[in-house]
Amino acid sequence: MSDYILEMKHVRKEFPGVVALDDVSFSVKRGVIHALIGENGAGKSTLMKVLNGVYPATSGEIFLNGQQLDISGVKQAQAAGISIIYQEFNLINTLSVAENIFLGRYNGKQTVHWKALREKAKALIASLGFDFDVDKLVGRLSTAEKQLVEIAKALSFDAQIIVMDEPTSSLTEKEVDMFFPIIERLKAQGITVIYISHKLDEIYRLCDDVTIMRDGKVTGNSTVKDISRDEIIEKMVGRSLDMEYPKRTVTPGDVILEVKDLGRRQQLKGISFQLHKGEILGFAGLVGAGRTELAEAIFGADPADRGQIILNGKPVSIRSALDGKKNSIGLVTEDRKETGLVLAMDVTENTTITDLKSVSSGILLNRKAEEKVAQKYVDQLNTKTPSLHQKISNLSGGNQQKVALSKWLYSNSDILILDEPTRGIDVGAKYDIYCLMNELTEQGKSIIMISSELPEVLGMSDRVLVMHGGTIKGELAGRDMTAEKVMKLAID
Amino acid sequence: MNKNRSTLRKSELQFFFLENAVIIVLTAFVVFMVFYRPSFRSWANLTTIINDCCMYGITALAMTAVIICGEIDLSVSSIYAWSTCLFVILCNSMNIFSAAVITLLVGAVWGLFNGMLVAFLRMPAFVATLGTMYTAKGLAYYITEEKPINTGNPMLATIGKINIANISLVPIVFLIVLAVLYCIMRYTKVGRNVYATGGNYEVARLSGINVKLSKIIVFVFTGICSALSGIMYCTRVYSGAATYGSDLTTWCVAAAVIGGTSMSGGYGGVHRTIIGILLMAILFNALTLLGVDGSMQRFIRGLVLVVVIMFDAISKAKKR
Amino acid sequence: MSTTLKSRAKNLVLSNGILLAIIVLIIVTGIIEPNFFAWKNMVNILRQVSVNGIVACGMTVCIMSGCYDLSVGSIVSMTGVFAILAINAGINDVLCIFIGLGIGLLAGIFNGSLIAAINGRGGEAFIITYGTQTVLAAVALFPSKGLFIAGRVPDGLFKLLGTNNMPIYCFLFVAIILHFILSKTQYGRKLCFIGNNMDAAKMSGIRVKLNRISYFAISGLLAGLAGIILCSRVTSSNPTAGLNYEMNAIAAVVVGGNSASGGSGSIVRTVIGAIVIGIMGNALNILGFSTNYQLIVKGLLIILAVALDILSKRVKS
Repeated sequence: MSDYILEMKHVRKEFPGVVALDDVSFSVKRGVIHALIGENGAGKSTLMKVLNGVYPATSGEIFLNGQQLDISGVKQAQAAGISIIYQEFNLINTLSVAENIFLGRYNGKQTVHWKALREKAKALIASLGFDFDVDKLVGRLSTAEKQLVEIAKALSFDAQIIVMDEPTSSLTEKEVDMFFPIIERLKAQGITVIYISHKLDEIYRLCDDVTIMRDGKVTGNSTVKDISRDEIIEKMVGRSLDMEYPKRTVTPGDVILEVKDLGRRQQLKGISFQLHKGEILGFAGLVGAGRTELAEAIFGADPADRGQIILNGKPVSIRSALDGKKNSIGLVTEDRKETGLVLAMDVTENTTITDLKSVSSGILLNRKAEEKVAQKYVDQLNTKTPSLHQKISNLSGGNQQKVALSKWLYSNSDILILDEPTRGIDVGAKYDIYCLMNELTEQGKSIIMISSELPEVLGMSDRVLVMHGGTIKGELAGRDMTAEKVMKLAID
Repeated sequence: MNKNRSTLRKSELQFFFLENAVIIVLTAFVVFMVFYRPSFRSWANLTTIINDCCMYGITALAMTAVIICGEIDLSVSSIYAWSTCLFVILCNSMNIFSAAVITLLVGAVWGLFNGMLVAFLRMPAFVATLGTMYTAKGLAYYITEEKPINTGNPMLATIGKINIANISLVPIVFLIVLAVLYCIMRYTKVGRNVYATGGNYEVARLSGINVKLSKIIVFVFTGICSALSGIMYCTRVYSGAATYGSDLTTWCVAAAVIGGTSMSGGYGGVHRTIIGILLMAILFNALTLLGVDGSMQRFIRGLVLVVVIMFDAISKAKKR
Repeated sequence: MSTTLKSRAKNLVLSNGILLAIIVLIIVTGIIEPNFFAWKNMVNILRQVSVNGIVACGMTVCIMSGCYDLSVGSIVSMTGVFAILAINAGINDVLCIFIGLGIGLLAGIFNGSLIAAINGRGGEAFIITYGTQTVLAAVALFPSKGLFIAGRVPDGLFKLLGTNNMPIYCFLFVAIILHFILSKTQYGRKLCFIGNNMDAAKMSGIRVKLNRISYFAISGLLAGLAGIILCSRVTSSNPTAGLNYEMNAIAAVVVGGNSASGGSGSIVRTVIGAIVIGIMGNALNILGFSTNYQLIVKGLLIILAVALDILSKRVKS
C-alpha cells in the first residue's frame, strides 16, 4: 500500500473561457493534517470540489489508497469516505443536533428510532472529546459547535478524509483553542484532514504538510517545518503581472472623507482613515475581513452604530442608502446580480434609477432625456449593448458592471466605492474599468476600491489599507506597496 | 464572562416573552374569565369547549404540518364546506361509512391537487390554495344548488348522539388524528423529511431528501383532515352547506402559530398546536359568554391572526 | 430564426392562451344567445365591470410590487356602509365621498404599514391581508348588525357617481391616470424596481418601505372608490357587498396577462382582463351559471393563469 491516502494526478478543470485548474497534482499522506493555501481564486476550492464530486474534472486521475477512483457525484465521494465541510454549513437550523448528523438517513428504515439515533450521535460527539445535548437545535449553537456537528456528520459517513474549508474564519480565539484539539484527535484516530486556510499561524500550529496554489497551479509542496513564512508568502503571491495597468496621473488633493473610529456590532471595530480628493484608495484583505461591511456602513445601507463620518470637514449622519446617495456617495456592490442591478429591466432604466428627477419634466419621465443619459454613459464606458433597451440579464458580466458603474456616475457621486469592480469580467472590460477609474479621478472624484485581486489593488491604488477581522491592520504606500507586505498584514 | 452570561439571560428572557406574548395574554384572559364568570367553569361549558375545539382542531393539526413544511393552505375552509355538502348528499343514498370514506378520499384529492401545484410547478402555495379555495367553494354551491342540504340518515343521528359525560365522538376522533399525525411527524422518515424541507429546502434537497414528496404529503394531510372536520360537523348538525366553516383557515393558522410553530417553517410540532386550539376555543367561548356578538368575534378573530403573524415575523427578525 | 419564431409563438400562446379561450367562450355565447352582443347588454356589462375594474387597477399596483391585497373586498363593503351612514346623517354628499375614500385609504395604509414593518415578502403580505380581510369585513358589519341600510341619497355628485354610465367614466378615468402614473412617472419606475428586486432597489437609495405602504394605500383608496360607486348605484349599502371582490380583481390582473410574481405589469392588460372576466361572468350567467357557481371557473382561471405565467418564464430562461 502506498504512503499516500489520496493522489490527484494531472487534474485539469476548464470553465467556459477559463482554466481553473492547470495540471494540478496533489498528494496527501495517510493520517496527516495537510494544509492547502493560496490567494482567493487560486483554485483551492475548485480542486476540493473536483475531489468531492461537485465538478467533474476535465481531465486527470484520482487515486484513493492507490486505487483509481471515479468520482461523478457527491454521493460517490461520500461513499468513498471523502467529506467536505464548507464555510456555510450544510445544516438545518430548525432541527436537532442528532437529526442533522443523520439527516435523511435513518438506517434505510421508514421509521425513526430516536433513542438509537441520540445514542449514536452522542457517541460520535464523544469521540471528538465533547459532550453536549444532542437534542439542542442547531440554530441555537455557536459557530464552533456547528463545526463540531459537521465533523460528527462526516464521521458518521465513515469518512477517511475530511476537507475543512477555512473552518476558523468565523471562530473567536477561544473557540479556535477549543477547536484545534478536535482536529488533532481526528488525526489520532487515523483520519486525514485537508485544511484550507489563509492563516499562517494556524498552519504552523497544526499542520504537517502544506501545498501552496496560485493561478490554478501548484507552486509549492513541503512539510511545514521545512518551509518559512516568507517562502510561503512568496509562493502565494509570486503572481505574474500579466495585466497592464494604466498609469496614475492624478496627485491626490485635500481630504474629502474622514472616517473616525467607526464600528458596527461585532463586524467592524475602530475604523479610522482619510480619503483625499482624486485619490484611489485600495482596500485589501481576505474574504470576510470586513471590507464589504465597511463599504455598506459608509454608504448607509447597513449603517454604523458608532463613530463618525466627516465629509468635506462636516460631520454627517448617514443612516440609509438614501442618505449615502444624498451625500454624493455611490456604492457599486460586490454582487451586481443580487443588489447592484435589476436584471429584468433594461440598460436605460438601470442607469437612471439613482436620479430620476433630472430626467423628468415635471412629474413625467422624459424618455428622450433618459436615453440621452444612458447613451452618454454607454459611450463613455464603452459598454457593449445591442440597444439602450436591452435587458441587463442579456449582457455579459463586464457590460453589466459598466451599467452598475454608470448609475452611480449619473447620480454624480463624488465618492465612489467599488466593491470587487472586476470580479468575473473579461480582460478587455477590466482594462476599460481601470482607465475609467483614472479618468474619474482626473475629474476630481475619489474612489475607494475593494478588491481581492492583489495585483489590481497594487496596480491601481495610490495607497492601500489592509483589513483583517473587522479592523484596519495597516496602511501601505509608495515602495511599501508590495504583495508580500499586503499578504503579511492580511493573514497574520 | 459573568456579565456576558447575565446579558444573555436577560435577552433570553426577553426572547421568551416575545415568543410567548400571545399565549401569556390569552392565558391571563382565561384566568380572568375563570374568576369573573362562574358559568365558564361549569362542566357543561367545559365540555362544550372541548367538543367545539376538537372539530376545527383536526384541521389545525394538519395545518401545522403544512406550516412546518414552510407552506400555507388557504383552501381548508372551502374543502371543509365542500365535504359537509358531499357527505350529506352521499348519506342520503348510502351508508355513512362508505360516504365518509368517499368524502375523505375526495379531500385527499383536493390536497393532492394543491400539493402538485406547489411541488411540481413551484407555484407559491398561497396563490395555488387561494384558487382552490374559490373552486372548492363554487363546487360546494354547485352540488347543493346553493341551498343547505339536510339528511335524515338514522345511522348518522345515532352516531351524533353518542356521548360519554357530555363528551361527543369528536374529541375521540381528534385524539386519534393527533396520535397518528404526531407519530408520522415524529417517528417516520416521511415526517422528519417534512421538517427538513421546511427548515432549509436546499440543504434538504442536497441531502437526498425527496422534498417534492414532503410538500405533496402535507397538503394531502390538510385535504383529508379538513374533510374529516367537515364530517364531524355533520354528525352534529346533520346538514351541509357551502357557507359553513368560512372562519376555519383563520382559526387554524392562528392556533398553529400560537402553539409555537413558526411561519418560516421547519420548527414546531402538531402536539404544540393543542395549546393554540384550546386557547382559541376558550377565547371565543368566553367572548360568547360575555355577550360579544358575531361580528365583533369575527373582528377579534382576524385581529388575533394579524397579531400572531406580526409577532412571529418580529421574533424571527430578532433571532437573526 | 425559425426556432426563435417558434418559441415566440409558444410564448404568445402561453401568455395569452387564457384570454383566447375566454374570447372563444364569449363568441359561443353570442351564437347561442344573439342578444348577448346587443349594444345595450354590452354597456350594461361595462357598468358591472367598472366596479371590479377599479379594484383590479389597485390590485395591479400591489401585484406589481410582489404582494397581493386580499382585503380589498372587505374595504369595498366597509366604505359603502360608512358612506351611506354619513349620507343618512345628513352630511354634505361631496364630503361623504371624501369620507369613503379616506376610510379606504386608511385601511390601505394600515395594511401597508403592517407589511412594511415586518419587511414582509409575498407570503407574509398575503397572510396579513387575509387577516385584515376578516377584520375589515367585521368592521363593515358593526353599524347595522349585518343588515342592509337604505340610503337617503340627495341629488348631487354622490348620486351621480352611480347613475348611467358614470361608473364607466370613473373606471376609465382611474385606469388612464394610473396607467399614466405607472408607465410614465418616477413612481411607476420605482414600483418596477421594488417588485423585481427589493434589495437592489434599497441599494439604489429608494425609500422601499414608504413606497410599499403607498401601494397598499392606492389599493385601499381605489377599493374605497369602488365601494362608493357600488352603493351609489343601488342607493343602499350591503355590508357583504364586496364579498369575493379580491378574487375578481386578482383574476382580472392575472388573466389579463400581467406577471403574477411582480416586477412588471400594465393597467391596459388589467383593463382587458377585467372586461373579459366581466363579459365571461355575464356569458356564464346567460348559460345558467350563477355567481356562486362562477367561483369554480374563476378559481381555476387564477390557478391556470399563474401556472402559465410560471411556465412561460421557464420557457424564456
